Amino acid sequence: MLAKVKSFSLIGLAGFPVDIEVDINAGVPAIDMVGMPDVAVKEAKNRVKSAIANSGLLYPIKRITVNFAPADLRKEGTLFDLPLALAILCASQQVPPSPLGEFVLIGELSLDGSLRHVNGMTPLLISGMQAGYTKFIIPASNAAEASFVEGLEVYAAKDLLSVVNFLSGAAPLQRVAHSEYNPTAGKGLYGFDFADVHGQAVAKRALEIAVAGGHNVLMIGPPGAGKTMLAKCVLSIMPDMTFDEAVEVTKIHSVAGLLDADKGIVSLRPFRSPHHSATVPSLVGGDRKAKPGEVSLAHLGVLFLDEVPEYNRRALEALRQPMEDGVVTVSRIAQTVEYPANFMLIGSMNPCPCGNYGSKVNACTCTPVQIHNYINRLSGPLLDRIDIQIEVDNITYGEFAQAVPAESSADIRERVVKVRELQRERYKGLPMLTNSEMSNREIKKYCPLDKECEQLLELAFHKLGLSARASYRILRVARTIADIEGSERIAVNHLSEAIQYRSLDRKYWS
Amino acid sequence: MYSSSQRGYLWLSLTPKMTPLRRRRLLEYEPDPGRLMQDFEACRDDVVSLVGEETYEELLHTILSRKVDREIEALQAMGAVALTPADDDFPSGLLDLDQPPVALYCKGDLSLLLGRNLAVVGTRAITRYGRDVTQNMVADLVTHGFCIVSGLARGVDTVAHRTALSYDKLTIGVLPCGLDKVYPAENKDLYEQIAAKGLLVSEYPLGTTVQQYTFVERNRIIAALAMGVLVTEAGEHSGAGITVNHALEQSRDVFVVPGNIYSKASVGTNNMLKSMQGALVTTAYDILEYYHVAVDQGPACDLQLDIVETQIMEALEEGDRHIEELMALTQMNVSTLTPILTKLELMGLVKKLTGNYFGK
Repeated sequence: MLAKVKSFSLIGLAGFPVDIEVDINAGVPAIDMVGMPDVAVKEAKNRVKSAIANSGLLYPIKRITVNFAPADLRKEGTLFDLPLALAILCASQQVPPSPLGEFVLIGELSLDGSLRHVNGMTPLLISGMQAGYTKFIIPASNAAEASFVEGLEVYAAKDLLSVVNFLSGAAPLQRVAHSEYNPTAGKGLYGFDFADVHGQAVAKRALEIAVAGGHNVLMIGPPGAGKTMLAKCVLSIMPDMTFDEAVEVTKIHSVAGLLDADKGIVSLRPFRSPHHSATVPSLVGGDRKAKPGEVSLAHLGVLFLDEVPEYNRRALEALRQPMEDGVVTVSRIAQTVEYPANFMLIGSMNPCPCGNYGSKVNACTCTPVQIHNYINRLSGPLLDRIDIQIEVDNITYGEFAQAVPAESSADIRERVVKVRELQRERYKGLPMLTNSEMSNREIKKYCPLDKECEQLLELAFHKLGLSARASYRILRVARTIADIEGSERIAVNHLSEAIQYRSLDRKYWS
Repeated sequence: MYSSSQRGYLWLSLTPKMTPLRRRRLLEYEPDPGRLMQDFEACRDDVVSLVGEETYEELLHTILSRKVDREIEALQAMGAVALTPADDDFPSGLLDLDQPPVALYCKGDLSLLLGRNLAVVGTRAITRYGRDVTQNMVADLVTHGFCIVSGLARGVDTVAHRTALSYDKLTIGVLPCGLDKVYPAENKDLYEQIAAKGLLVSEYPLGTTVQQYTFVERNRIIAALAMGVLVTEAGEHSGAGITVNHALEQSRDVFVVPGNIYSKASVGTNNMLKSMQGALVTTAYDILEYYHVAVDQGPACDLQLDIVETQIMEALEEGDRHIEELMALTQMNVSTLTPILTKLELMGLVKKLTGNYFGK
């Protein structure tokens, strides 16, 4: 007898429906699988056999043929265990074909018949919904994740037997209740607050500007200056994620298997700090399974590269395309997968290999060539995408501590949110959200300079030895500073401040 | 065209294994090397007794392989010339040396050799202090007509040359290698600028690479070409000490800038000052005064500074300040203070240093 069950599979973040057809005939007892199953799918037959038997059901001792349709796409993963088991049970008349045909089934089976967690549930459900399916049966451990997808009838089951009982009408199954997304649920959970950072006034101000305008930042300073601490604080001044943003991030983390199963959604912006031995695939995504890389895991959050020059040159160059496009394209043999990768890059580095360059007392033991080579490991095109360069120092602030207490992250975030709002209004209808995304044409339109500003910029180039490519970056940052100060036009003081955030461009460095 | 005696000197310069001692013996035997070169084989026995068989063969080989002609052609091709003691414009200072060079290969403006030259030397491992001192002093010296002589090495030498060039003033670089070699390699642009605007000199024929001894020998030429030697920063074992000793032997003036007594980078200069208190200088004006050069005060300062700017400038008089110190002082925050600092920086009154420090 023939049975047919629906399931879903993923390519990247996009799902596609998979029909699992089972035919049971007389013959030598065996199970044949066709339709491009990968190893994990082929192994399902052993798990399914044990799970059915251990659930007190009957595994047919006959010739079983399984087809995964469409047959031309590769099927991966363990999520076909549950639909396969039910197709076999249906074909052997232990489960009625209706209402089984109405449901999309997703789940991995354990040998004792219990259902195990599946990665990628959020994108699976969302693409299932987009394809017009509304009824799903999933593992109970995925229930929290499923609760945030509205408009679906999702049933979460603990084991195979409860699914069989539910479908044959013997016992009800608990329907997953919808949970409301609460963006403030994670408030204060970042654990780092600018109020706890003493001194570093310049760095704090620069980071506020960076977050407000979506600019990437490079921090230059000796080891122990607090670069990592500052970077971690950045999350706490970023605006809360909207529901759509949270879902986008959740999809990626779900596919990567990094999602907290109890929470079910990522409500905190991610902070990723890959080690400097990171390879190209680990950063941008890839390997055999086209998994999302660090740039995608940092989507809508912060990608922190500590000691940037220590990273593999090729790995750094690979960051350029996602930084430019906000998405990363991962190509494999069979298909091309696209993951979003819209992150804020924060890099940190020493001023020179020995760390003493520019120190007042310690002599720098690096030769100019060494310093030059060290700085040059950051290629021009990469530096072109980093608008703000600041110096972070490790002096003791006890000597000149200010009476004014440090501002808390919450206060800074209020300003940031306002400026982000302003930019959203300004770039309405354009495919951009922040000042950092302005191209040359938009800079001409939104950053007009009066005569005084033009002269200032001209003078800065000559006197400070700024490189020509610095000008657009200075203008983008000046635009953000003007926005923070609530000014329609870029004024001299905005431009003068922006000039201070170009440490590495100055000729006298090395 | 090179005369016979000029070619003779070049012959000595181009022959390997010609130590200063052998050179002197030959020149004492026959003061005009051109004549010696012409009937060299006739004097074989005398020459062998003076410098040995091996050197004789080398000298003979230089003649037979027409090395002098080829060197002259190569020099012409790169726009360089060779000066020898037979030339009228050979710097007289070099002849007073214990071991005078037999040739000075030059590329650039030869008239600089006769100008008012001051050597600026010091450590390769320059600190910010050394950089500031060198930049400021060289700036004042070149604007008062001095031409800076130095060795194109890393550190103080490079800063001295670059500062002179940044004021569009002339400078002489004395190389420890042939004119066609650049050492250190990162100074290639500096090398080209000096060749175009100033003067590069070397006592070594083309193709000579740097050797340990060439750095040492080069220092005596730096001292000889200048009327005085200024040491801005030197550590304990700095080569600047050698230059100073040469300067003293050649009765050149020596000026030394003191440094922080705790700084390793200043041990050399401070030690020099222990034995030569008279050499202590703290500004370029000390040197200008010593040479009776009228100090050019420059145009009167008509900069209008407001209260905060004046406050900042006064604070910087006492030393470098961290930006947070200035914030506490002026009761301003980053966004209001940085534009002012940029303005002062563009006016040339304030320098942004590394580590968020500002100084004058």
